[in-house]
Order: sequence, then structure tokens, then C-alpha cells
Amino acid sequence: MTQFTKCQTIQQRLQELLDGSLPTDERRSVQAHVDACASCRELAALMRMDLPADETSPDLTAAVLERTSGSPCIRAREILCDYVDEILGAVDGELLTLHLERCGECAATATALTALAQDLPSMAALTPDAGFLGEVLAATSSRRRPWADLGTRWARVWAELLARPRFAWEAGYIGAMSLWLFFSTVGAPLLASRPPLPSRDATVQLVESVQGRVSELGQQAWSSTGGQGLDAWQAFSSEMTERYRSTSTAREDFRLHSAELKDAALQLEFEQGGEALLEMKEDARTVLHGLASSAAQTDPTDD
Amino acid sequence: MGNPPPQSGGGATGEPFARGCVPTREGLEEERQASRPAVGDWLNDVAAVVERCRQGDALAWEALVREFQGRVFVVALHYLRDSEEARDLAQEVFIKVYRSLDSFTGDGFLAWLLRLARNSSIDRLRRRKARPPASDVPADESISLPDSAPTPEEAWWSDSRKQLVHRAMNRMSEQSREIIQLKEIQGLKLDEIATMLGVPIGTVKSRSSRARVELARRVVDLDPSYGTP
Repeated sequence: MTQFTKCQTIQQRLQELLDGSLPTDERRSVQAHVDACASCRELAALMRMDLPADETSPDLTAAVLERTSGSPCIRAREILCDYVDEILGAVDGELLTLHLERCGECAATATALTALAQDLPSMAALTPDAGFLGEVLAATSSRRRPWADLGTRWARVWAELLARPRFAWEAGYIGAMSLWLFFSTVGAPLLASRPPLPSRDATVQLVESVQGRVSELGQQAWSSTGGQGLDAWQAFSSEMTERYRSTSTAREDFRLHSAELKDAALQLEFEQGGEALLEMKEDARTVLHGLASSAAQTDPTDD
Repeated sequence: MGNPPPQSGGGATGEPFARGCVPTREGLEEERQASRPAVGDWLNDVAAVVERCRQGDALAWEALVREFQGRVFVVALHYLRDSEEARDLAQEVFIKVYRSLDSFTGDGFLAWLLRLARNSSIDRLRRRKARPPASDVPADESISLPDSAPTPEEAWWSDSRKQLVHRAMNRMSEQSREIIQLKEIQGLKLDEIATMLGVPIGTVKSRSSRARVELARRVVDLDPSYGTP
């Protein structure tokens, strides 16, 4: 037998040794081992100590619970209602009482549950205003005329119908079905009295004649407005082109005189520059006059 | 209609969970029933009253409406969150009840009535969502109350504890609020609620427990002294 196994066996007998209930022979051998073994001797000393139950540290308890079964409050909350309702078993009740003595949060919850058991039933009824009973009795009186509130009832039914989410669809469907039923039964003679639809060829001829007429009207409109406008524009464009050509000599002179002006300015020949400037003025006047008037008019310098 | 709620507090010593001072089940149930609106002695046999209403007894019908108008109004208010609309819907519910009394059979008139109120409220909510109002509805935690002289509603809401509980309930999910309203406030049974909601009884029980604890914690968050003497 190993030392460890022997210690285990001895430790199982320690309580009996301390109680004095071991047989004599066994007591001697156990006592001898305890005297020789430091760990068993320490354990026996601890077992002899009379520790009060409440001396354990609450932090230690919480730390142990956290690493083992978890918070006991979860289990406590599961059976708290049965505890308040006095239908919990004796053992669970005792255990829960022990827990509530040490856990303020659960104790407050239990206190609140007890108070709620008083307060909630008192919230069961709330009398409406004094006129409520009279209105109900008036609405349910058996001696009331059946047509007395027909308008109110119809208004309520109509409001309920309008509140239906698909009322529009339902109304459209019913309307379409009603029309179909009417015109296929009672209203059939109304359909029979209509003029017959034209044949397909007649329809094609009608479309073609309309198309031809529209084209004719379009050409007339064009000839009376757009065509004349186009002709006028062409005439104007030709006139302006001719006028521009007639001023080519004056434009060329303007360019030559502007070159002379430039040379005179570079050479500081002010008299020649002034003469060139006057010539340019005459050339510009000739160009403008030529553009503004028709080609048949004479040159202004000729007069 | 109802008796004023007794003072809160669980055990005889005032400390809620001192050992050996836990309130009895019978005492707890008596206190709860005392908190709820009292049912007249003769209305304990609701089936008989309904039968009288079917026969056209106007007095029986008036007593029935007077007895349950508050509950129907509260349920409508819970879903619609507007007192005018809830009042209008409550009236519609009673008119429907009057016209369909023949379809009510057996026990559980309150559950049948509140199921009608709930379904009507949900239908109206669906119609409201399909056709939103022309003007924006202000979103706040409070239920709109009419601007008039102090009414029974305003007197009811002036109770700070009820206001606190109402504020805490408004912070819960719709599902949790509904289960609190049906089970803890209206006092319906688990099977009745299961039928109403179309879920198994176990689901109702677990939702109810979770909702109660959640409400208690939210109330404590708002007022840590809630429930303490």
C-alpha cells in the first residue's frame, strides 16, 4: 500500500478517531499514523477546531460558486414565485431562505413579488365614466325599435369596411363582376343596340385617307409659311454674299493701308502714318457702305 | 367596487422572509381575493345570471354589466392604451356579449368575456395598423386620460404604487405584459389563459413566472423601497 493510499484510508477514519468510536486496535494504528504523518496530523488538528459556520468569507463563497456552479441567483429566481406562493417543497424552501438571508438583490425581488401579489389584483377593474352603463343598456335594450340606430350601425359597418387593408381591391373586383353580370344578363339588350364596328378593310381605308389628308395639309402649311421663308432666306443670303464680294477692293486697300501705318509707326514717320490712317478710314467706310447697301447702288466716293 | 388593498408585507414580524414567519397559503389567497373587485354573493352563480339575461331579465343584465364593466375596460385599455377608444371598445364588447349570450355555455364566464374583449382589442389594433391615423400619436409611457375634472380614472391612477407598477409594466415586452394582465391582474386560471393564447399550459406557467420576476425586478429598479414596510 502506498503512502498516499494509506493516508486516504486513515483520513476516512479520522472523524471516528476524534469521536472516540474506533475499536481499540484500530484506534492505536490510526493514532500512530497521525503522530507520524504531518499532513494527517494537520488535518486532524483542523477537524478538532470548532469553527463557526458564518466565519467563511462571502468573497470566497462567491469565488467558488463562480468557478463551479455559477451564480445561485439564477436558480433562486426560477423558484422565487413558488416560494412566494407557498407551493415550494420544504427542502427548496429552506435552501432559498438561506440564500435570501445573504443575497440582498433576491430578497428585494422576493419582497416586491409579495407586494405585487397585493397590488396587481387591485388593478383588475377600472370603472368607466358614469354614462357608460346607461349607453350599454340603451344599446342592448330589447324594446328598442330595430331601425332606430340603423344609420349608426350602417356608419359603423361602413367605417369597418373602409378600414380593411384591401378595400379598394375588393371594391374594384366586386364592381367589375357586377358590371359583367349586368351586361351579360339584364343589360345585354343595351349592348345589342350599339352600331356595328367597322370591318378591318374599312378601317385601313379610313386610316389611309386620314394620313393623306394630313400630308396635304402639311404641304400647304409648308408652302405658305416655311417655303416662303426659305426663299426669302436664300435671297437674303445671296444678296449679302454679293455685297461682300463688292467690297473686296476696299478690304484689300484697308489691309495695305494698315501695313503702311504699321511701317510709319515703327519708323516714327508721323505724317505718313497719319495719311495711312486717313486712307484706312475711307476704306472702312467703303466696306461698311458696301455691306449696308445693295450692289446696284454707286460707290459713295464717286460723288 | 373593490376593497382597498391591504398593507403589503409578508410575515408576522414584518420582515418578509424571517424563518418561521412565512404567511400561510390560505391567508395569502384571502388577501388576494380581498384585493380584487368583490363579486356579489348572488353573482357567484354566474351561469344562473346569464340564463336570466337570456330570458330578457333587464335587471340581471344591468347587474352583469355593472359587475364586469371595470374589468372589460381595463383589458381594453391594456391593449389600446387610449381611454376613449377603450371605452368605445368596451361598449362594443358588451353589445356583442348581449347578442351572443346563447353561445355561452358552462362555466368560465369571466374568461369568455375577457377573451372576447382581448380578441376585439386585437382586431381593432390590426385595423389601426392597416390604416394609421392622419396625425401622429405621441409615444409616451402614459395612457392618455381625458382632460376633465378628476374622474375615477384619474383617482385610480393617483395611487403612486399603481403608477409605479404601471410604469414598470410598460417597460416589459408585450407578451410579458399580457400574461401579467391576464393571470396576475385578472386572476384567470392557467388553462383558461392557455386556451385564450393558444399555447400549452406549461408555457403559460413558465411565462407567468418569468414575467412576475421581471416585473418585480423592474419595480425594484424604479423604487428600491417598494414593498418594504
